[in-house]
Amino acid sequence: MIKQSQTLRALLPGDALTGGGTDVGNRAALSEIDASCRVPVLFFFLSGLAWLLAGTVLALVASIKLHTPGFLAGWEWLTFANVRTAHLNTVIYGFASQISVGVTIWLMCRLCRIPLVAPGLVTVANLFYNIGVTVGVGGILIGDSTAIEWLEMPRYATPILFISYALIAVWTIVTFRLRAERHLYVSQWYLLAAVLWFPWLYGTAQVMLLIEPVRGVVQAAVNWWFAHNVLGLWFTPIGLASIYYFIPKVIGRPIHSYYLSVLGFWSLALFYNWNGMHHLVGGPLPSWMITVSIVASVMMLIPVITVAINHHFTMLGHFGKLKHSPTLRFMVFGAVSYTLASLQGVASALRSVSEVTHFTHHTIAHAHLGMYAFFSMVMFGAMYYILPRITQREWPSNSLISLHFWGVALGIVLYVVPMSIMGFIQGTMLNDAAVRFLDVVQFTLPWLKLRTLAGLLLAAGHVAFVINVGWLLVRMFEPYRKPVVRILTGEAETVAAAKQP
Amino acid sequence: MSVIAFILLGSVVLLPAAALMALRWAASSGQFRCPDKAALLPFDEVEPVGLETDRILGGNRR
Amino acid sequence: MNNSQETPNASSGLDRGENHDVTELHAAVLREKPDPVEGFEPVNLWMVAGIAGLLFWGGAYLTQYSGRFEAMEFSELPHGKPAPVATVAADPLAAVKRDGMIAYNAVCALCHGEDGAGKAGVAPVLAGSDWVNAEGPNRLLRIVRHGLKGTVKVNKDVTWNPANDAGIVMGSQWEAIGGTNEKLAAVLTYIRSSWGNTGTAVTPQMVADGLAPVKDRSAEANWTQEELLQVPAGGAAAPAVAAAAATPDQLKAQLQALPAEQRQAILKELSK
Repeated sequence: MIKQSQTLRALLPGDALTGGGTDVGNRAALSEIDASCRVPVLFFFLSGLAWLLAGTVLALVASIKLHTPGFLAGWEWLTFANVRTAHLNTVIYGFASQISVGVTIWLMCRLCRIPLVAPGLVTVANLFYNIGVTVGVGGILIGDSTAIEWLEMPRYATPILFISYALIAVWTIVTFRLRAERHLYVSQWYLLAAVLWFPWLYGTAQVMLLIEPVRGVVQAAVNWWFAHNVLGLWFTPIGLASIYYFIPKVIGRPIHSYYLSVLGFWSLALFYNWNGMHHLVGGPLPSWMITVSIVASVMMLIPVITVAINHHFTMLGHFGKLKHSPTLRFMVFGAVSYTLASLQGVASALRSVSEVTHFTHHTIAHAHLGMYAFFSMVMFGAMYYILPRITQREWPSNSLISLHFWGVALGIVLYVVPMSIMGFIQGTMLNDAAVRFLDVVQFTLPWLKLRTLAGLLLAAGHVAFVINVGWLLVRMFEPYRKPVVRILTGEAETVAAAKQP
Repeated sequence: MSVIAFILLGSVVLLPAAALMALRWAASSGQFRCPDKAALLPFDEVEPVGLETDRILGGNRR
Repeated sequence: MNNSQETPNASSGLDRGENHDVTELHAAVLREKPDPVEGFEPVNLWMVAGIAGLLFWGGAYLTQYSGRFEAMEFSELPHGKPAPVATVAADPLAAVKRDGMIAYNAVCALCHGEDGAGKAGVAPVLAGSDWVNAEGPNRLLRIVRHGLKGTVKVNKDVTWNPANDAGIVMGSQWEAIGGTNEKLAAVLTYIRSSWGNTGTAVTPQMVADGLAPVKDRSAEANWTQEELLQVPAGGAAAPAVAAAAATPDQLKAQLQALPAEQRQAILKELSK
């Protein structure tokens, strides 16, 4: 490791090291990496958060429309179909993907131990990416949706997205090639795989569904292969990479078992991309395709349990630290949700469960358990760690951090638990020929109102977070003050620094 | 159709090949050899094992 | 290797051939490095067993449900299990009743109600009405064919008198329900078998036979109660019994429910 820090020092301007011994040199190297990421990562985070706010508003409108159909009924570009689709695309491509890229960049630089290469390229990619998402979501709202789930963005928006995405992927590989640390940490496996998998998924789906569409049920098969793999081969690896890095990093203890993490990665890589067809249980597909998907879905228990055991035993004896670290709170919440979401997913892939839960709100609860309670929470945790380091400023308000955490934690629990139960009851009612459809609809109404309430809690959390980030940015332009390196140096120095006038 | 067929068949061959090459590269470059070292990669001299690096909430703040 | 073997030490109490070289004694232990605590915990054996179990289940499920990997096999059932056969005999008249229900709900229900309860001052009740549950459909089918005006007495004591109240007359509904014997038969079958009614099914042939004597009557010439009561209600004919009965037991029960002379006639016809 001394050798690595020497490599780092070789990359730094000479005067950064004149201050003292190895420790100062290493500190400077770490700061150099963080500082090199500042502009592009901030860009990704800020545009991601802007899309998060837009997505939250769209989600609330869609949620209210489900129990109060007259709400905003006079605006034809805000019909439920448009709003719901715009919500999905905003949070997936606008929010989640952009935060993912920001986190990927920072983690890659940290783990490769080199400052960011060509940050300008990444910033340009970010710019194009945002243009692509804006055009795409605007296209959906004016009614140009392709009506293919998860690929609703009109055809004129997707090439921009694909190109900017390819720039990011190429950049990641370049950074990886230039790395100063030869040995790979498990997070890098996940990140590299995700960065390579996503263009493959997106490109294949674009060609087979939009550019030169295949015919018949093959479209459905390709559609769900893509939609499920976006979760499993793009978001999940980046979420897991973050958990694998941040939990050990925050509590200061290596991961419980590195063997398990390797097993988890390769079994995910092997099994996940078969999973998509379990969305078509009961559909007109050859039974072997669905069966293979169900088996692969159940096999996902291997990586999931592996990861769960690994994270749990890493945390064992360190749960007290949850009190002090927002990053750890969000990470552990996300890690637990990952296990729960995966178990729920395995269960609802089975034919006997799927025939009840299919086409109900249960699926929607499951999607939010995966995308929000797992992935978004992990991304929030990562941002709590990364933002102070790249801006060299402390978080301005602890109360806003608490408001954010408790708002979104309570909000998502209040969302997922009742909706899962309601969806299951809804499914049994739908399967009962004696129950009128209107009765099923009326049964869901109070639960849907509860969902709007949960959505408001989530929105409050998001607003608190965005205010805190904005405040942090304001501080960035204030003159640098000595004690702000507190979280970078640990608790003991914090107290000492705080005592100095 | 023929374009699609080429893309699909190509990707069917190339992607597993890439995965296998990645696995081979990982094995030959010693990625599976020192798990004890790999687990320590997030840490360095400045932030060694045992140092809690994100202590923000709960009392130690003025 | 070492010389302790060659110099047996009598005073130490060791037996011959025994050695007390600590290093050699513990060589096996020394070769072993201390177990690492963190970072490379080995994979638990139980977990390996669990993974093996999962893979086994996966193989078993695959053989059961893969439909021999045939492109045209769509069954979601395990391999070798035949598709379930409906065990409850379907109502042979289900399709007819459904047809009748659609026409009834679209036309008749506006006045008589979807539940056949009628509407005070507008249209008489159909549920449990003696007109509807009459042995045969001869009067009912005339009402639908040519309409009805004037006072109507239902179930002997309840008088429906639309004409006096609001001048409402039931016009001919023949065209409205589709204008065919089949449609009329379906509507009547539906009415006579719904809301607790116990009338027998009506076949298109029965409709044709029933309307034959009045085929020249104008659609505007609405019937009156008095005229209709002259028309014999008409017994359930044999074809209706056959159509409604799905099992020998049902057929038997229906036969026994018929008036004695009619039952005799049917049995005589059958025994030919």
